[in-house]
Formats: sequence, C-alpha cells, structure tokens
Amino acid sequence: MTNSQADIHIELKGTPQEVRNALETLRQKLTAEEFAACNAGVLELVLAEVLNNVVEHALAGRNDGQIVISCNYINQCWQVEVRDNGVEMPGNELPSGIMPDLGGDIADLPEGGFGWGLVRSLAQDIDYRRRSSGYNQLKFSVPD
Amino acid sequence: MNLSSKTEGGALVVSVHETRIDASVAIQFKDRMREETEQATGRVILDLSEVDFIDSSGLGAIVAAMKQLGGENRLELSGLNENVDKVFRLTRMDTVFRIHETLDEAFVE
Repeated sequence: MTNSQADIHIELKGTPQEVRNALETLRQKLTAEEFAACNAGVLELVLAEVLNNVVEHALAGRNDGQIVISCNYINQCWQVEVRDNGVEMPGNELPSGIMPDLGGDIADLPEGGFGWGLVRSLAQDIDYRRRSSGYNQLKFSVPD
Repeated sequence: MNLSSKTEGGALVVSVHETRIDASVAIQFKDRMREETEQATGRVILDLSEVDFIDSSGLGAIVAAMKQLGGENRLELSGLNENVDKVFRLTRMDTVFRIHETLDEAFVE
C-alpha cells in the first residue's frame, strides 16, 4: 500500500505523537527550495485534521495502526493520498463537515467538531474509498 | 507545555512559549492554562505570537481555557500568525474571542 515515488512520502503509526512528528517532517520538507512557493500552511492544517480523525476514530483503541501519506505537487496543486488500516467511516461516508453553531453562552460553546469542517473548507475533490483488502483510502487536493 | 504569565496594565497576560498547540498537547495546554489563570479576576490576554500552528484540538483547548475563566470574562487573544488566524476565521471563532493584532494593541483603546 505504499507509493514511495511520491514527492513527499511519510509513514507513521497511529498515535497523536506520531502525527505531530509527521507534520513536523512535512513542514521541513515543505521548506525545501523546490516547494518554497507552495501553500504549506493549508496543506499542514488539512493533513493534521485528517490524521487526527484517523487516530481518534478509525484507529481508536488500536496499537497496530499504520498510516501512509503521499503528496504530489502537480500544476500548482497538492494531490494527497492518506491510507490507514483502521475501521471504515461510519456508513461508508465522509462526515458532512458542517461547522458547529457558536450561539448561546460561553459555557455552551463547542470544543470540538470542527475538524471535517476545516477539511471541507480547504480541500477539494475529496474522495473516500474503503478498499476490499481492508484499508481506508482518502484522496483530496489542496490548491495553492 | 511552556506557559508564563505576568500582570500588565491591569490585565493578566499569558504567553505560550511553544510553536504548536495540537492534539498531542491539547490536554496539557488546558491544564497549564487553569494553573496560570485560576487567580485572574479581570482581563486575560493569551499571547500566541510564538505559536505557528494550531489544529482544531488546539482550538478546542483554547475554548476550554476561556470556559475555565468562568462568568462572562471572554478570553482575549493577540499575535495570531496567518495560519492560526485562518483556523479562527474558518470556524467563526473570531466572532467569539476578542482578537488583537499584537499584544501592544490590546492596551490601546
């Protein structure tokens, strides 16, 4: 399930600390000269939300979680693929990504539920497939 | 999670000496904020000028930190870089927090 020929290829275990390390690796690679003009901040944020979601949901309670990221920069656009060996999305569908309502008192403000709203705000051509060999495949693009 | 605080112009200013507030440190951030702000009675300004990345878990932890202040005391923020500011705008949380471009500006009324 790997494509090590990608412009950026990162493999990680499904833990929050590994997600942080992977994003720091991504940031280092994105500061390389060849990607200097790219939309690094947005790519990092979208990947953070996708990876957090995989760790917190698809791989919840697992210690054998594996995630593979590949990013290719094509025509001023990042083409990204994320695969994981977790459980499938509920209903085999992506979350709607509707941002939580912020009305009401401070005490009632939501502290979560923003992740997929951010992904849907910033990424395009989002495509999710459950592969028959037992892994999730998410593809999306992030334009500059 | 390295935070420090000082009293300035009648406000408590809490500075975050970390580059990231993300899912891996969200709980520590919330706990450290409770320690730094438990004596606060007036304005509390969270200076994020050293932070260059937050995700939605970090955002949630900042919301939780405001709730911990109790009452109607809204947490104020300063020094958001472009990426951090984007998270607040896209989630509409920029309408909930008072946001100052710099810490100095928080004291210019």
